[in-house]
Amino acid sequence: MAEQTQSKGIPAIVKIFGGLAIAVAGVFANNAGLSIHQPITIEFGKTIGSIGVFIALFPVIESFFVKPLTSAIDERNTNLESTFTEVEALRNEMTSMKSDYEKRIAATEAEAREKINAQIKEAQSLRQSLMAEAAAKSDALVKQAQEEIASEKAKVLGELRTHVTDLSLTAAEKVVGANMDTAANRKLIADFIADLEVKA
Amino acid sequence: MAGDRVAKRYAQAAFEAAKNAKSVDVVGADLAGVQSALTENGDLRAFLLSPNRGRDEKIELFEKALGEKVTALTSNLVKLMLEKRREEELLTISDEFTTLRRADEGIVHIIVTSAIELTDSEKKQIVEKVSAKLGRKSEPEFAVDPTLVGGVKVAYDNFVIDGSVKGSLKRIRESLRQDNLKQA
Repeated sequence: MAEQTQSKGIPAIVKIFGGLAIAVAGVFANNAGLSIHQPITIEFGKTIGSIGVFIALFPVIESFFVKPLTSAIDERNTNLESTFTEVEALRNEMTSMKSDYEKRIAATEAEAREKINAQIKEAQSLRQSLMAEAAAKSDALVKQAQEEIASEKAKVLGELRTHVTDLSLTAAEKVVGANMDTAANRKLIADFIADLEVKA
Repeated sequence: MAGDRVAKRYAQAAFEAAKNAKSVDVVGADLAGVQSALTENGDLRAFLLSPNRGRDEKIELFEKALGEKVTALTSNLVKLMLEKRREEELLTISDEFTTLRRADEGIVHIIVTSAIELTDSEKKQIVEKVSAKLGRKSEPEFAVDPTLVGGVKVAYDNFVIDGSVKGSLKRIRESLRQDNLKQA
């Protein structure tokens, strides 16, 4: 921007010397009393001198104040542009990351949903399996209990029958013993001898 | 058990010696007498079986008490057993000797048990019938056991012919038990 200004304008040294020349000319014109007093007073010498001073001072001002200021503004603008660019890049990156993040969140949510559904299915399957197993065990236990009851019942009945048999036979032995006299015994012995069969 | 084996070996040796000397019956009777003396005379048995008495003392006592009543073969056998510290086998050697004698002569030993004492006729009939059926001479041993209630029981070798009331009731009991088990 500063180079463009210099390329378009007149060189500063020319402006300075030109301005000084004009200022000197103004001084001479003032000393010569070159002025107009009607309707207002215009002193050409002072006016030309002032213009010359301005022309001479303008490059100095430009060199010592405008250029550093322009340079600082340019640098600032450059920094701002750089910052804006960086911000834009960051914003783009952020947008991209946000998009990625949203995609990842969506994927994660989908995956989590799938996993949850799978776990729910597995849990339901397990529940059914456990219920079936528990039912089978329960049935088996009931069956076993019924069998044990039947077995115990049969055992007790058997023991009872055996006990009754023993009691009956013990009573019979006592009755027979009480009624067994010598004659009856002799008869038994005679029968035994008659029926005696020997295994050779 | 080991005592039985020892008694059997002594009995075998004594039987062979007696058979060679043709005095099986006499030696058998001697051994039965020795066994009977030991069973019936507690003092004699205690003395002979005592571990605190010396062999010579025991042999001397035996000679005094029974030495002259038995044959030389029996006397030598008993003395040998006393010398070898086999006094306890004196109580069973007679039975082992008898078993060997019966086996050698083909005699079957029958044990007839009845609830009351059998008459001679009944005894004779039973022995004759068993001997005839087995085709072997039998040597009976009669016993009375009132717990049989009635009837007779004959045992020989590994067989028992039970004609007693007790046996009949026992068979009925077993039969009913079997029926009960089948029903269960």
